[in-house]
Amino acid sequence: MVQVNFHTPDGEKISIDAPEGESVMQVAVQNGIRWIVGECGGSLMCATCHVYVDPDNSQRLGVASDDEDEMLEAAASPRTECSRLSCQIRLGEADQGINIHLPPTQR
Amino acid sequence: MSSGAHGTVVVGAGHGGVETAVELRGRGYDRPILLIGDDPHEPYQRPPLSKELKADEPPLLPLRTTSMLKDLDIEVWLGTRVGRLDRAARTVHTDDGRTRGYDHAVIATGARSRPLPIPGIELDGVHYLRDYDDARAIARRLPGCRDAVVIGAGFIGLEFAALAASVGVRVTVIEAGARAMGRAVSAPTSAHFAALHRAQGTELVFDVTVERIVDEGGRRAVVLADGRVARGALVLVGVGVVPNDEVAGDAGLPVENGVLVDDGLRTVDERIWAVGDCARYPSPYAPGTVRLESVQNATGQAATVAAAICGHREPYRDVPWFWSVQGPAKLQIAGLRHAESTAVVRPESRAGRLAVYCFRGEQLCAIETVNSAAEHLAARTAIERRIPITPADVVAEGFVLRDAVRTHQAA
Repeated sequence: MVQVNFHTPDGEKISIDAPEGESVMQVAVQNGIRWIVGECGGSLMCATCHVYVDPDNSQRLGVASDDEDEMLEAAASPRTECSRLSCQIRLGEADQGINIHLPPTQR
Repeated sequence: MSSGAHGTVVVGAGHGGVETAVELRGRGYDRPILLIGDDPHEPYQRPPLSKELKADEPPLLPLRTTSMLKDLDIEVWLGTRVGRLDRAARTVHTDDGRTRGYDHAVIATGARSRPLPIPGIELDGVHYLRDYDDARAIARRLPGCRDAVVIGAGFIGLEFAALAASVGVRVTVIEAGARAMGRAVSAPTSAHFAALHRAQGTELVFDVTVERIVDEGGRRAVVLADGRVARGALVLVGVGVVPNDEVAGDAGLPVENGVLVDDGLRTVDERIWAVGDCARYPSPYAPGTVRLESVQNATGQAATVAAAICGHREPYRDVPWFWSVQGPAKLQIAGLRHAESTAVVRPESRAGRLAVYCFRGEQLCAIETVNSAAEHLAARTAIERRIPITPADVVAEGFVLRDAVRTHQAA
C-alpha cells in the first residue's frame, strides 16, 4: 500500500492508503475526495482531476505527455509548474507519502 | 416503520444512482438512503467496458469503494430488481419480496441493449455489450479469435471494432445506415472515423440490414439482406439501447422513450425524479426534449436532483458532452447536434486531428473534435455561454476557438 496525502484548499490533510498501480484520481474519487472530479474516468478527456504535486514528490513523475500538457492549459484552476492531471499519476512504491495539493475548483 | 424513517430510495446503482446517493450525503442529507441495483457487482465504471477490453478478465473499476458507501451510511441492495413502485403508498417493491417506503424516489434505472429480433440472435458467440458480465464474456472469447462481425456502427460497435483490430482480429462492421455513428455525429466526423477503421484493416459495410445469424460448425455466419455473408468467431451486436422506463410507466408516470421529467428532472409526481440514460428532459441546448446517454449527463443530473431533494431546486443546464476512443482517435462532442444542422470543418493541418462545428441555422449547437482536447474544453464554454461564432469565423485563417472564447469573455 502507498500512503497518499491529500491537502484540501482549506488546509485539511486527508491520508489514504492505496494499492500500488492505482491512479491518484481513482484513489480520490473512490474515497470521496470531492475536489477531484475525474469526469472522464481517466481517459485524458476532461481536466477535472487537476492537482498540484508537492515539488518534493514530483521528480519521479517525469514530464507530462503532450495530451496532458494540452489539457492542463485548459484546467479551471490556474496552472503552475506543479500542475498535473492526477489520472496520469500511477502510484508506485517510490510515491510513499506523496503530497497532493487540491485546487479550489475543477469546473 | 414510522414515516419519519423513509428518506430517499434510489432505483439503479449505475453512475447516476450512485452519484445521487453520494451527493445527497455531500449536501448534508441526514435521512436514510437506500440504493438498489439489479447488477450483482458492486457499482462500477461503465465506459472502460467498451474501451479497455483487452484482458481476458477485464478490470471492475468501482465507482466508489464499498467502505466509503458504508461510511456515508448508504444502504446498498445489489442484484435486486425493483418490480413495482406504489405512488399512493410511497413504497418500492423488489422482485425478491422486499418493500421500502420513501419520501423521495429517484429513478436511475439506465438503459439496456436494444434487442435485435432476428433468427440466430440467441446463438453462442453472439454478444451484446452493456454491463460487466457482457464485457467479461467477450473478453474471454477474444483470445484466439481471428475474426469478428460487428452489427451496428455506433459508439459501442466501433469502440469494440478498434480494440479487436488492435489485437489482430479481422473485423467486419455491418451498418443499416449510410455512415458511421450516423445518429451521433456529422458526416465529416463519420468519414474521418470510417477511414481510420479501414486503415486498421476493418471492413465497413453500410446501407444493409442483417437477416439472420447461422451457426457454421462453431463459427457464426451473419446473413445480410442482400444475400452477402459475413463470418466471424464472435458477433457483437450494438444497435443502440432502450431506456428502462417500465417501473415508471407501470406506476402511471408519463414515459415516452424515457421517463418524462421537467427541466429540474422531476416527474409529474413531486416526490419522484429521474436521472441519466432513462430520463427524458427539456434541454436548453436543443428543441423539444432529449434523452442522453453519457456519464457526464448521469452525474450532472444526479447533482441537480440531490440538490433539489435538499431544497435547492434549479434547472439542469450542464452542456452535454460525449466521448469515444477508437484506436488512435479520441472523439469529443460538446453540445447537441441536430439532424438538419450544417457542418463546417475547421481547417486543420496537424495529423490525426479534426474539428467540426455544427450550426442550427446561425446558432452554433455542437462541436466535434478529434485529438484536440483543449479545443473541446473551449467548445463547452462557447456553447454554454452562446458565444457568437459564425461559419465564416470557423474557416477564417488563424481562428482559434479558445482565443475567441477569451476575447468574448473579456469583452
